[in-house]
Order: sequence, then structure tokens, then C-alpha cells
Amino acid sequence: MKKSFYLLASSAVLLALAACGNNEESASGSNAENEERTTVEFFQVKAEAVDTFNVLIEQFEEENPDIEIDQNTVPDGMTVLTTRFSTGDIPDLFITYPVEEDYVLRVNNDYLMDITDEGFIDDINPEIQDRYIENGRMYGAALSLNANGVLYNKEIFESNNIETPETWDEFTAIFEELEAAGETPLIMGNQNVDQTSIFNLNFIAQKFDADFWERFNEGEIDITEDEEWREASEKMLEILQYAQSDHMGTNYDQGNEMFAGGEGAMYFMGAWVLPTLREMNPDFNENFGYFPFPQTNNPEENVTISGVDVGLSIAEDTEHPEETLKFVEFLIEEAQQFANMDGSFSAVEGVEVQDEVLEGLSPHVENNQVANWPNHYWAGGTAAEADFRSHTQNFFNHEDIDQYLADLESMFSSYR
Amino acid sequence: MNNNAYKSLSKGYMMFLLPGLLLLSIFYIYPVLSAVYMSMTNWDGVSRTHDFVGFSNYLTAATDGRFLNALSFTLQYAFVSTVLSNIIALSVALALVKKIKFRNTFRAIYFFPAVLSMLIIGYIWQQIFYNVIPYIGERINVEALQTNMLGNQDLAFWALVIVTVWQASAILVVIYMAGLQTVPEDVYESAAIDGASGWKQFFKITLPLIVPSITICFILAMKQHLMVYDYIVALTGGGPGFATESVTLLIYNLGFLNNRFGYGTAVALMLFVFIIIVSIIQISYLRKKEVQL
Repeated sequence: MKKSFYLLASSAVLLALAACGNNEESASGSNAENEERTTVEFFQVKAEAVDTFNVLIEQFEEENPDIEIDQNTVPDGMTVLTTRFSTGDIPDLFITYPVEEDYVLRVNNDYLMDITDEGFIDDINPEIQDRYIENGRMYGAALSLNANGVLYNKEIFESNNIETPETWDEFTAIFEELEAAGETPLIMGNQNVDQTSIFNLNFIAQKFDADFWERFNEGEIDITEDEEWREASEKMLEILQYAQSDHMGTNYDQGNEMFAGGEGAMYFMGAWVLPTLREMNPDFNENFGYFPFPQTNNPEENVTISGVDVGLSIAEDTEHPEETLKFVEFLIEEAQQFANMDGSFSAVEGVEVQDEVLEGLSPHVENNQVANWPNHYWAGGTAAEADFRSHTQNFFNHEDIDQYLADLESMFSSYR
Repeated sequence: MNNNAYKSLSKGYMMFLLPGLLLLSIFYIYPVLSAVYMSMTNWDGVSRTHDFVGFSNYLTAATDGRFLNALSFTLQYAFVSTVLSNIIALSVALALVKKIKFRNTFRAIYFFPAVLSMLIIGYIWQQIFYNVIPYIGERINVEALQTNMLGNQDLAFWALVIVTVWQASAILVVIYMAGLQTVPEDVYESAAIDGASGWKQFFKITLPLIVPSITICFILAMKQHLMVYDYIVALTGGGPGFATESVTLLIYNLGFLNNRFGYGTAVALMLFVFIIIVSIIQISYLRKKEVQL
């Protein structure tokens, strides 16, 4: 009895081992076939851009039959990327946004390849590309830009004889007028904490430049005593009162549905929302448009927030530096094709946006009347951004400016 | 069986323990030990190096307002949800063991929430809080209910409790039903002969005899609710503001958003120890209440 038991157990173990052996064999077999092709892993976090990249990858692989680009897209990609950095399993090529804490941290730990001297860097708009400068060198290349403005419902604007505003006073007058006419002037999805900053960073971005943030991060500025911060907060509250009644209970998806369904006149949103809204409303392109957010009464001073949407970094430790660089170079060369398919602004010079809705923001983007997302300059980076949003959501609830500024001051000082 | 045979047999049994022990060591014991070490470092999750900082992460937590806020939210939430879900589950179980019409149909209906995935529950309740409850609020003219509870600083807590209790009760009902069916009929009969009324029977007979079920249900529910994460991610994301940030969500945020892996691990271990202590207290208290027939 006992013997047969051991026999059974050992044969089971043997079987398992044999199965392992088989697997290894087949794996090495398929490797041998592809021996001449180099595989480059492209870790791509932007789910909407997968098809676009697939088209470009196909073209690239046709031109370079010895290179295979493996596009890897997973849900919650940025978190997965962070995990892969912590475990040392770093993809050859991945998306990185400039200036952010994550980027700086990766640069300072020598994870990213220095690409300052590559030829394709000269093709990129220096205004944007310079955001990648860290310790005097660049470790990333900008391909496309997002942009953040005011989406508006043309039907509602036309039926109330309203033109798109260029100044703050015109802007607030429109809200007044629309409300008097019984329309919902503004849709907001403030239940999602990230929506709060898409709105209010417009003011922060316009008021403060990179130099300010440098002094700010040094602790030279106290938010609670800064008039500009107070003024920005007042402007936030002034706009907030025109949002639909339950804006704190509306989330991003519900907000999109309401706006695409024509329930409100304006919506503060970045260009990334356009594919979603087009899916919800087939007539979106005819009925909706963009105009830049008018923060002040001087149209020349107003800016559109525009950050790098797709920016590429190469791992310092990659086994295939040449192949990866070749692919990045190819993407920068094909920026017009990318922009056409992706419907986004390009960071590459000479590329024009083809999207009829997005064109409303072109005057600002083409004149370089743009500002980076301010949170990219904050000492706490992504973390400070998340805290900032939560405090802002609180503020939209209690509407107490002193409390808000005090919260922000203690939050920011914890990161300095 | 002689001693030698026993020895060789027990050796055989030991061999069978090995694979399990190996798996346990690799996937459980090693990670826990490395987490203990990591909690004493300032690792940011990305750097190639880190410093050993001793217990300073734990000391930081003691004065960190955000951690204390998360802890107090989690405790209140776990306590309220555990008590409510157990009371509701026990009442439902009492009804469902009686010979009522459509008993099996009701049993299926009450179990339904337990088989839904968290994502689906998130979507369903998002819609209920967004559309249905404000509609009811308007009809019955209660101002607080006219907007989405999830966007309201004070009501978001209760919104989460409602969803939690709704789902958590389902499993507890099953455990309570099983417990109630072990109480023999004759005890009730003799109690009835002695003139004990329905309530008296419940408190003097039913309750003491199902204490083992109560122990299990309280510990399971308490543990689950102290570690609440999915409901919050699916419904509020910790908001509005920081109003519903639980300790587990804070751990995640610290690690993956704030790049403070070391500190996040310290908080996680504190939660781990805390849950053990709460469970031990619950077990030792309820064990004393158990009676044998």
C-alpha cells in the first residue's frame, strides 16, 4: 500500500517535470526561428492610441524587417509601469511625461537614456521639448500634446445669440445670460476628484510661471497671504455657481453624457474626451466646438493648458538601444500621420492639427500661448497633484477660501 | 501499529507538508518578512537604493493627520457596517428558516448580492445614488437626499455603509441559517411548555446556541470591513475631499501615488496588527458566551 503510494507520488512529480521540459523545448524552438528579429517592448499607457500605434508599428516593421515592436497596453498602465520600475523589469520604450516627480526620480536614478544629442530632438518644438531638460540634459522626446479648453454647445450659443468670449468679463457675462435664459450654463463632473483640477488649474496655470514655482518650492511664498491665489480662488467660486445643481454628485461619465446629450452649454475639458463624446453623439463635430479658457481681460495674456500627451523615454539598460532609437525617430518623422489619426496637437514642428473641433484651440497652441500643467512643477509631483485635487473638492463643498488656502499651504509645505 | 512503522509513516506525512510549506514560505512568509524590513526604510519604490530608518515611519504615522483621519473613518465604518449587517442578516435568516411560502425563492433573492462582482455593484449603485435616490428625495421633499449622496461630505459615509451592508449581509444570512438549523426543535417545545414567549425564546435559547455563528460572522465582517478598499474605489475614490479615505486606500495611495513605499508598508503592517488584535478580542469575548447543550 505504502509503496504504491510513493510510486504514485513520484510518478506525479515526474510527470510535472516532464511537462516543464516540454514547455522549455517549445519555447526555445520558437526563439530560434525569430533569432534574427529583435523585439523591442513598447509600454504604451494610452488605451485610445493603441490602434494608431499599431498602424505605425506595421509600417515601421515593413521598413525594418529585422525589428519587431511589441506594443504592450495594460489597464492602469502608469501604476503598472511604476511597479515594473520597482522590480527592475523596465520596458525598452515607454511613455513619460516631462518635469513630473516620476520623471525626475527616474532620471536621477539613471533609469532613462540621455537622448539630448539625437537628431530628431531638433524637429520638436523647443518650447515643449525643453520641459524634458533635467540637469541640463533631455531624457524624453515629446510627440503629441493635450490641450484643455472650454467645449461649448453651438446650438445653445446660437439660439441665445452668444459669441465665443475672449475676455474674462465676456465670459462671466455669458454665464449670466445663459442662466437668465433658463439654460444650464455649465456641466461639471466634480464627484470625480480629477475633474476639479481640470477646471481650476486653468487659473493657476495662467497666473504662475516656472520661476514662480521655483520660488514656491523653496518655500518663499505663503499661499495664505498671496493675493493671486486668493483672486484665483474667488474666480473659481464665481464660475462654480453656474454649474448644474448636483455638480458635486455628478461623475465624469455622467458629465460626459449630459454634455454630449446637449444638457448644458459649456464643459471644461481636455481634448482627450473628444473620442468619448463622439461615440455618445454622432453629430458631435457639427454641434460642438472649443474655445480657449479666457482667464483675464487681456486676450494676449490668456493661455491654454497644454501638456505632453505622448512623450517617449528609453530605458538606460535596454538591450536594444539602436533599434529603439530608430523607432522613436520613425515616430517623430511620422508625427503628421500620428496627429491625423490621434486627433491631437503635435509637439513636432510643422505638423498641423486636422481635428475640426480641436481647431478652436489652434490659435493659442500655434502661437505658443500655452502653459504646462502647473502640477508638473510642484515639489510633490503626482502626489501633490492628487492631494491638491482632494483639497479642491473639499473647497467646492465648503466654499471657504481661507480654509482652502490654509489646507493647500500645509499640504504643499509637507512636500517641500 | 509498532513504533517504527509509525515513524516512517509520519515521515511520509511530513513529506506531504513540504510542498504546502514551500508555497506558504514563498508567497506568504517571505513577503511579510520583507514587508517588515521595508517598513523600516525610506524606499520610494523606484530608487535603486534606500536607507534604513528604524521605527521613524511608525512614529510619523502617529502624528500624520491623514493617517489618523483614515483610521477613524475605517473604524467607524467597520463598526457600523459590521453591527448593521449582522443584525439585518440574523433577522433575515430567522425569517428564512421558518416555513414560509416561496422560501427557496426568497433565499435565492437574498443571496443575490453576494454573487455580483464589485465592479457591477459599483455601476449599479452609482446609478442608484445619482438617479433614483435624488428622485425619491424630491418626491418626499428631503433636501439632503436631493443630490447625490456620494458627492456629499456627510452622507458619503452612509452611502458606503448602505452598499456594504446590502452586499455583506448576503453571505452572513447563509451562515446564520446554517447555525439556526442546528438548534433542535425539542428545546423550543419544552420552552413553550414552560411558558416562554417568542422574544424570551429568542434571547434565552436561540441566541446562546448560535454564538459560534455569531463569532464567525462578526470576525469575518469586521475583518472585511477594516480592510475595505473595493467599495470605496468603485463608489467615491476616497472623496469628497478625504472624507472616505480608508486605511487600505491610503496604503495604496502612499505606495503608488506618493512614492512612499516604506511609509505605506508601515501603515499596512499597523493595520495588520490592529486587525489581529480586534479579532482576538472578539474571539475571546464571544467564546465565553458560547454554551453547549
